[in-house]
Amino acid sequence: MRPSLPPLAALSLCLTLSCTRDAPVKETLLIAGNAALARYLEPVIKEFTARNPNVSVVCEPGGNTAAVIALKRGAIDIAALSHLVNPPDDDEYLRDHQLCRDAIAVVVNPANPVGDLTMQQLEQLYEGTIASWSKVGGAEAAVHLYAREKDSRPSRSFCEMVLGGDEVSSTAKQVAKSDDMIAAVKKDPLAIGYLPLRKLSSEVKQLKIGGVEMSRLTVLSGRYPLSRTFYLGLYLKAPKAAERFVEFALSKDGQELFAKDGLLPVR
Amino acid sequence: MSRARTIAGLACALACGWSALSVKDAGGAPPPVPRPASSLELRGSGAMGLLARALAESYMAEHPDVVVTVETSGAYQGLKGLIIGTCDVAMGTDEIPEELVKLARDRGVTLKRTLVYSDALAAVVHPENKVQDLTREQLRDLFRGAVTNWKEVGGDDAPVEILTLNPTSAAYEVFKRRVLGDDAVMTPKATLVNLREMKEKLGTHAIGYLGLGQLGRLEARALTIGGVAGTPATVESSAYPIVRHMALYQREPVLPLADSVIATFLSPAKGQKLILDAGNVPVK
Repeated sequence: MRPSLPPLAALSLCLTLSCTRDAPVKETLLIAGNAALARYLEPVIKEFTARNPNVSVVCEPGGNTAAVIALKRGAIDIAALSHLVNPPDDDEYLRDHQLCRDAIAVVVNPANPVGDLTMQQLEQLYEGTIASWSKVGGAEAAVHLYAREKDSRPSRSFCEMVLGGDEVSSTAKQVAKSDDMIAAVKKDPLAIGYLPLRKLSSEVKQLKIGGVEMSRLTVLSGRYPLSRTFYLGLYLKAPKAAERFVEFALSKDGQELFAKDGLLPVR
Repeated sequence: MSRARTIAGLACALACGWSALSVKDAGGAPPPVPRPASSLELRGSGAMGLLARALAESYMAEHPDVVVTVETSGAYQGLKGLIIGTCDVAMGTDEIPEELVKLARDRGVTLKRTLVYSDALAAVVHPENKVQDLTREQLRDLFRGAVTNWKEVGGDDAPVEILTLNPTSAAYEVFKRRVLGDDAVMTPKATLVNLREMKEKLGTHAIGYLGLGQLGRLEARALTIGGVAGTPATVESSAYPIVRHMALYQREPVLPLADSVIATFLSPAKGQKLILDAGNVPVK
């Protein structure tokens, strides 16, 4: 079931049709998949529909697996994926286009002696099962968790990559923006927080994860553990508008929109 | 490029009549989304991950305008992506699964292969397992499920637990061909694990396999096979029986950037040095 057109779009469709019989019929694209990626796609969809007024795009957050099934059944046009599909779900008709890379830097106060965490330690810190810095090589002092607001894009990325989609511990203090995160971590010697790549600041100390420092190079190479790749999947012969959407997302303009949100372009 | 071999013939030789029989029409596969000449996407075998990532980083450091991405999900995904046009270079072994040979043929894609290095595939057991050596036949019987107790091959009176890697991995493909035999099947009792789990799940009476170069800090012991240990020397001389040849693939016509990046895998100062450091054998 495809949702009906939004009222404004429906109105413009009527107007268009009443003006000329040859006007293209409004086409609806349905995208579904990873919740974080669905959010990151919003600006791209906005720009795409502005450039293609006869196409409307509906994007539903869900999960990778459901999206692949829906894509293969023809229930959706594009799957938004946070990893490559594995066989047997992967097959020769699934065209998985690398879209961009998502990565998060973990930061502490410059006075904190801790320099490196494993993914597991990071998970335990943010789920609240490690509460003292001494458990991860630091001082005998409570860990002060900082997180971005629940529905923000970095927060979704962080929770999906570190906590398997679960929420951070309720003891975490929420901050509204990356600048607030930097300010909070700079002020609090016991703080731990996170930032997207573009917002990294020398005012806070970046931790290595599994011995690897986050940089453009280590994310593109895939060596930095707290990173992942987003894909857009098409199946068999997709509608022309779906092909155009993927092309736009992979174009220079599309890639710049992801970069604005802190993601790493791959082209 | 003496190391690179075109395997166009591979597809064409058997192709006669196939296109007409094609069961499921892909609707004429659409052309790949155009890619800027300054970006390159590598996908494929995790065995080549460390090497590819290090070389991608050094290439990008030397060429700031270039993007080289690496994704290691399995040899199958790399070759499939290459054939359908969603990636530019695939990392795999010299042996392409039959279904992908067919796919390349159906899509009219010619692949160009560049051999990069050879490594030993090690059969690994828990350090406390007293078995030190197995013949290739014993190994085959264990993984086929014909031998189910360690005492039958000189070990404790204990059931054998079999660990196997994903069928899409380069290691599985090679292990299947070299140990099980082409038409044989792995025992259904085998537990499917990834490389990390191979470490966590390798119990006292388990046996698994992985690239010798991936043994790393794994708390596991590699068995000798028929009295021969897997070493760079025995891989090179072919005395060790389970060897795989890692290769890079690109589509014809080749992209200049793909050629340039692949050249770093073969460069004595770059790729070959890393290959030797990992205990593997660069292709000569």
